[in-house]
Amino acid sequence: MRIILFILLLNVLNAQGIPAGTKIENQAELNYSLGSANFTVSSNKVVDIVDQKIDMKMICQESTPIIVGVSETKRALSFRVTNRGNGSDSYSFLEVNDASSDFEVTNQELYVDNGDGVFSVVSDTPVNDVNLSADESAILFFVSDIPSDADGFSANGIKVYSELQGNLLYGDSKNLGTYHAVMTAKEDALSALCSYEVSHLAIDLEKKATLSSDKPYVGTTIHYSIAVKVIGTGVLENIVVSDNIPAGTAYVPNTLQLDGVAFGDFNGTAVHVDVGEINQAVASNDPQHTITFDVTIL
Amino acid sequence: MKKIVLTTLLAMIASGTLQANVTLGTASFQEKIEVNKSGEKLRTWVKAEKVIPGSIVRYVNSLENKGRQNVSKLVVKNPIPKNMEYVADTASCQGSCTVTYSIDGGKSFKKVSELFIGKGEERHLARPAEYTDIRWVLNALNAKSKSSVEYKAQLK
Repeated sequence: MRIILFILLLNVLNAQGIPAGTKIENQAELNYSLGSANFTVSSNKVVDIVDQKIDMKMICQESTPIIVGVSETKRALSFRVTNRGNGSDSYSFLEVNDASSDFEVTNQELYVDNGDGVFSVVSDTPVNDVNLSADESAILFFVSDIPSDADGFSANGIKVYSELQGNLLYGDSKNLGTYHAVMTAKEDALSALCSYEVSHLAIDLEKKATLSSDKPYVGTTIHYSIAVKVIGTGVLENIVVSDNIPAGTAYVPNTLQLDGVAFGDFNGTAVHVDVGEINQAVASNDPQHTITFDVTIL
Repeated sequence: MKKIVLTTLLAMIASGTLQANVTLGTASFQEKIEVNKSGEKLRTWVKAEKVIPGSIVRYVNSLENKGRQNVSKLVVKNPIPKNMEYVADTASCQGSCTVTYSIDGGKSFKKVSELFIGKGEERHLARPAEYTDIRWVLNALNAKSKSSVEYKAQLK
């Protein structure tokens, strides 16, 4: 007996395309002659309704492994999930592990970014699922604690599931009433992995910016804060922190400070602070020093 | 008065005027691939049912002369549906015909090589996606016979 598998031919574009539910109408017209008489005939109107393309993609946004120290808590890996379909959908997530990892992280949580692209326990929101309209994406932070005995690498990831998809496999479809939902996302697009790399002693700089106005206008002051943290335990020497002033801004004289005290110098393009030595005897996620300075938008 | 109407009616029937009866129907199709046990792919066209962005739809306009007399100078015009783009070189017909295209909503029709859009440096030969209408011209369709014209378009 011959087994025939029917596969809908899918020519999928990357962009969201025409929204699901849109009517596509085709109608032709005929003119002809019989003797000296002319006639005009219209065809029926064929109406096709655009079906919903279920297409989503998960990517890891970290270009290199995230350096972490043992016993650190709430370290984030950044992912982006995008609805590449032509209609809204709701997505849920499951963690993905890599058997080749050297260690397993604990206390995993998922947060959705508040729009600044930087993970913050305070301003970002823990989530189980997200709703995305066509072509919309969200940054997700997969947050974990690093075990005290961690060493080497650990790959961790998340897989996205569409509510519309249900049990549909690639090429499958189901009736949604007035139109169908067609699964066009391939399995390998649904999950991604990012990695942690344990360093037993390293510097971690966290930079934050605060505007003096609700939006960045000409004349707005940007207050920068750089938290100098040490990953792991031990002594680090000759630490110098340099930061280029953003294009289109001007350094505000005498605003460069280390831990609230005027310190360092500005050479016309960058601020430099000679932090010197840091001795961190006990692992901590708290900053050892904080560097601050202001710029104005030109 | 009744006699005049009856005389005119009989004259029209005798001349065949009332026998002109050419119908035009349109239908949409999509390609499916059948994969058999040997892994061979068999392509067939079926009624369009799963149209998603990127899908190619084949539109077939069927002509049938149900009358007793041959008709001539058949011109079929088909605006390309909104949100669809014409797929290059897919307009064809059963038998012989002349195909031209419009880029101005059907006001004028020209050959592909004569369709230009824009002015100055932006002037260019119209891309298939910029066509708005298609026109097929058939010389004749005999009595009690059928023909068809068709094209393909892709959903944006």
